[in-house]
Amino acid sequence: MRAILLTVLSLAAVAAVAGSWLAPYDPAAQDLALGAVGPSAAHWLGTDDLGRDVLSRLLAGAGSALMWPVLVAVCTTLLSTTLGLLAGYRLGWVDTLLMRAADLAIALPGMLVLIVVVGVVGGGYGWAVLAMAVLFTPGDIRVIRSLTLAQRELAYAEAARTLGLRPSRIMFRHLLPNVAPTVVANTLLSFVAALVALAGLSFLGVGLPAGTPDWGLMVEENRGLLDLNPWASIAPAALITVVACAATLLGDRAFESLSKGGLR
Amino acid sequence: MAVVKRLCAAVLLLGVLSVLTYGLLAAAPGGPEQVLLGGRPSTPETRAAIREQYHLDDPFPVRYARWLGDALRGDFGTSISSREPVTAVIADRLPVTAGLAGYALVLTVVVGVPAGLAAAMRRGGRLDQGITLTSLVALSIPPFALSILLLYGFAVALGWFPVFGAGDTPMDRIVHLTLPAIALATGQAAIVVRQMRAAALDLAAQDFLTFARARGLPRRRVWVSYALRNAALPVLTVGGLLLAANLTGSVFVEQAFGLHGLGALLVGAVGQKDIPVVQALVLLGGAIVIVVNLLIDLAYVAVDPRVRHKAAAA
Amino acid sequence: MTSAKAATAAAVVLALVTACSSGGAAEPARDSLVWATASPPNSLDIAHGFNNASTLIQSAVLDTMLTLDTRGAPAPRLATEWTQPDPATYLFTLRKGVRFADGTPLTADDAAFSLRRHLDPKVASQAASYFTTVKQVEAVGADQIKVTLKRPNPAFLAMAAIAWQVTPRKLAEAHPQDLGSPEVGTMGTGPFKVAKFSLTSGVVLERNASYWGRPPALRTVEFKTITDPETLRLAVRSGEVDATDGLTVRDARKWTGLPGVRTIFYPGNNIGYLSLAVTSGPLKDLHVRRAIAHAVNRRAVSDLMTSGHGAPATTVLPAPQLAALYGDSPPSLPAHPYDVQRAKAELAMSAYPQGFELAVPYASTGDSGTVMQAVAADLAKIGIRLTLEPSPADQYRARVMQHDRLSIQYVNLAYGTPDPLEVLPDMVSRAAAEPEGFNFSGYGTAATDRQLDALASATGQDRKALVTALLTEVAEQVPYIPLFSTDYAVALSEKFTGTFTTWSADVIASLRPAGR
Repeated sequence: MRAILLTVLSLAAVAAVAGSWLAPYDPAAQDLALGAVGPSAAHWLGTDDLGRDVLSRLLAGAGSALMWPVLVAVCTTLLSTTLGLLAGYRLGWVDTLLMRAADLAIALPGMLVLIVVVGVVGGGYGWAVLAMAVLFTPGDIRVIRSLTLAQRELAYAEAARTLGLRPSRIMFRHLLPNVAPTVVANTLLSFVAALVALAGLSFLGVGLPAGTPDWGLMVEENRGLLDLNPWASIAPAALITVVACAATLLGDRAFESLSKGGLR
Repeated sequence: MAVVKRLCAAVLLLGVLSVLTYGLLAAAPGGPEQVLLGGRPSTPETRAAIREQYHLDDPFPVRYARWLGDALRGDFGTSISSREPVTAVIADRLPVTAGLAGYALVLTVVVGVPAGLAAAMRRGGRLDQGITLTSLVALSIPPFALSILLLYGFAVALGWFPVFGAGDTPMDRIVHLTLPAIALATGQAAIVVRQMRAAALDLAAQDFLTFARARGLPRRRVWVSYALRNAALPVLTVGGLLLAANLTGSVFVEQAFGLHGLGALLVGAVGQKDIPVVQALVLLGGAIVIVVNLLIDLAYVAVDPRVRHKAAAA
Repeated sequence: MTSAKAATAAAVVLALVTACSSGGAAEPARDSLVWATASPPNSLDIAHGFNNASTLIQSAVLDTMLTLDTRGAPAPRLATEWTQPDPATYLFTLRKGVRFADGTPLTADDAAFSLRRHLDPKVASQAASYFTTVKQVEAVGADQIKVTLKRPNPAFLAMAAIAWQVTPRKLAEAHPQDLGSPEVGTMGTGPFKVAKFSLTSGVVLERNASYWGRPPALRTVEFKTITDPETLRLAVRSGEVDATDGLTVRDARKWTGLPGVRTIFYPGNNIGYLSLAVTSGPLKDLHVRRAIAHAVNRRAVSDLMTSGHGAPATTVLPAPQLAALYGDSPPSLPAHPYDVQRAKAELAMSAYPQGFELAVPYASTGDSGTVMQAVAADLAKIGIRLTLEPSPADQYRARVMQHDRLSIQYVNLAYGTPDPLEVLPDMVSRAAAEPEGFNFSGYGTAATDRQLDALASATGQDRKALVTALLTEVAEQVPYIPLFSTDYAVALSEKFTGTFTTWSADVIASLRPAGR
């Protein structure tokens, strides 16, 4: 099972990095005379209404479809882990401040904020990524904090303190490995949430410019072609789902096996 | 004291939200003018009249202060595109979204809680694996893709459900909202399943359950009366947050099923720079989240004796 | 004129009456119909709802003083006749015995106020630009209305036929800003009256029992809004919606195959074109503009955007307007046929023989992205590299209306009247080249302004000659590259039939069960 998941994600990663080279056609090359046609030997997944090769666009679009969610996941994880450890270990005013800020951010109507920000500011996914990182982080901070709270009272943390280790060393060398399963699981969940949310933004017509090869955008742009070439929208939708599933399952597995191996 | 603190935090949050939204909309290029002119050739007189009526030449703080003053007196202004009072616009659409959100929440809980519990009871077994896998898949399907799938399958191919709209009579509405509610609830039920399962498993390891089992209580009784009661807290939290999310974020489903709810209203209003509508919606969204969080806390007190006692002691 | 063009022109006057359905006779004829629009009607008053969805419903509820016949010529509606005592004055005679749907009699004062209010800045009417030449509107006696213009304007009647909707003065005066909103509603003398208007659940119209004309065949018509094109198609397919004008011809192939549904196409009074900002940069160079005109494959763009339900455009006037003005003998204008070699030759003569790079903004939703992608691919072949810069539709619109950083814009405009005067001043007058104007090319000289002035009051052969001269100049100087015109499309259940023409305003009143 894990092998399958890793294979799926590695394939996606390869496509994300090298998709443009692997693509059999120029993903932007148009053939207006051809238009949207179903799969053939020349175009394995057919073409869209501008006569562009769907397979090439899928490969070229993997980068954009996966890079942004990865970015969201990385930002969220770095922020939430650092701040969560800090709040849970240091306590005091740092904790109070961070928790109040998290309370505020959690009370934000998430999707609403996202639509307003991206709809008003426009211009690509950059702002959406930032907004998502801000929206996802507080929840994760809380989780990490509560785990840290439990860990800091355990004997090994006491011992580290008694040895006079620097707090940053205790937090990142000693506590972090013990909350790692949750961090890994959260990272993958953030990735999935961002993947699905960004595809949703494209569906609403906010976000990336028309014509950008991107999975979410392809689903939306080619939805009208279901009768002519269903693959143009079904294939990217399926890819999003498969990658999201693989990431979620992997997160689940990673959590379980890391937890077993960990100190819990 | 705690209540006062909470109220202050709530007011602060709503204030920050409204300034940010207003600022974002006012700073972005374009204004309500294009909507008011209908994208048609216009005369200089008309344009001047519009700028004056909507105070478009005033600096941002003045415009915001004017909006805030009116809002505090309960006047949220008039929608720029429909020229109706904003409160009427929202009141008109709230029942659709509220119905959808409530329906979805019921489905989520009715499916999610038993499934999560069943998975926890049979941990590691076929059933658990099946439920876990299904929930993970459900969690990963983009809601709009699922909407389209459901539309084609059940409304078009099978013809069991209507394709669009919200229906007029209560019964009609339930029929109309079934597919959208399923589309909305699928991902959320998956979250509840996971939450329920995790919470129940956590409890299973605890002493009182082991003790209850040792006393020879039947397995089902142990799970239902102990685990359910104790797992209720996290599930309640998730459920409340999901309800809040549904009220403000069902926009994909609304769009796909042609429902004229709050989400669809927001997307339209943002596109048209309909500042009064966007402002009111964002504030409503913030208020809903705040109230739901408050209710969750109250429910905690009711459900968990430990919290109740702690609260009494404090 | 090509034969395709002639066919288009002929089709303008063809009232499309669909044949009787051959379906089973078991079902009794229905007298209610559900119509879906793609965008929500925002106001039942043309002053604030001058858009397809709103105006469609308005025309079923409100009567205009006059209407356009199938050829686009002014015809009586609430006015039984009119005279022109002098070129700048019209005297309309009001139909007798007409009552509003609530029973109050229609007066000349109501009719006069209904036009006058569009001039009031307080109303900020979206139709104000139609009536800029109107000086004075007054009721004369019990049943006459006198309209005095600042100067003769042969287009006045056509504009009045679209926008001079008559409502009770009392109601309109009390609600300058929100007449026609769901709260206030509206009141008219038309074939239908409003039974319900909600932004959420739509509009329900009921037959107006006291209508002065032939009663409509349908008892109720319900309007729903379905913004998602695919959901709309599924709703029509399932029979939940009987009719819609919300389909785009680009999707025609998906609609024509629907069982039990007839898709009707008729010529649209619209034109899609590229506007080239001639005031600065490479586009200032006439050779560059001609090179672009030769390089764009408008047949391909037209086919892409209209799926064959439209035609490549040869000039910037919509085909129906050409037909209304010239009949069957349109003028021959200079053309720039698709020819990559000639495009390269023109570019070689310009100051940019190696080509150049140009930033081109466009709206990230709607058709402009698709058109600009196709155009960019064409221009790349002669060395002109377009950098496409998307922005959200509202921001793009605001930026273009501010004439901010204009370069090559894709513009698609629909018009209401058969008169070129609705189009040409917007395209080549210097006044329209200012912010908020529609002259996005910035083209225009004192000479073109003089020609436009002359055109504003010219009639007969003079008018044709002036339009021809302006169109020739535009074709030679290439501030605009006409791309295509699109048919309008209506999908209608085979249980119903109706009359759809370019100019007919009473679409809803014409709907009837098939076979009647």
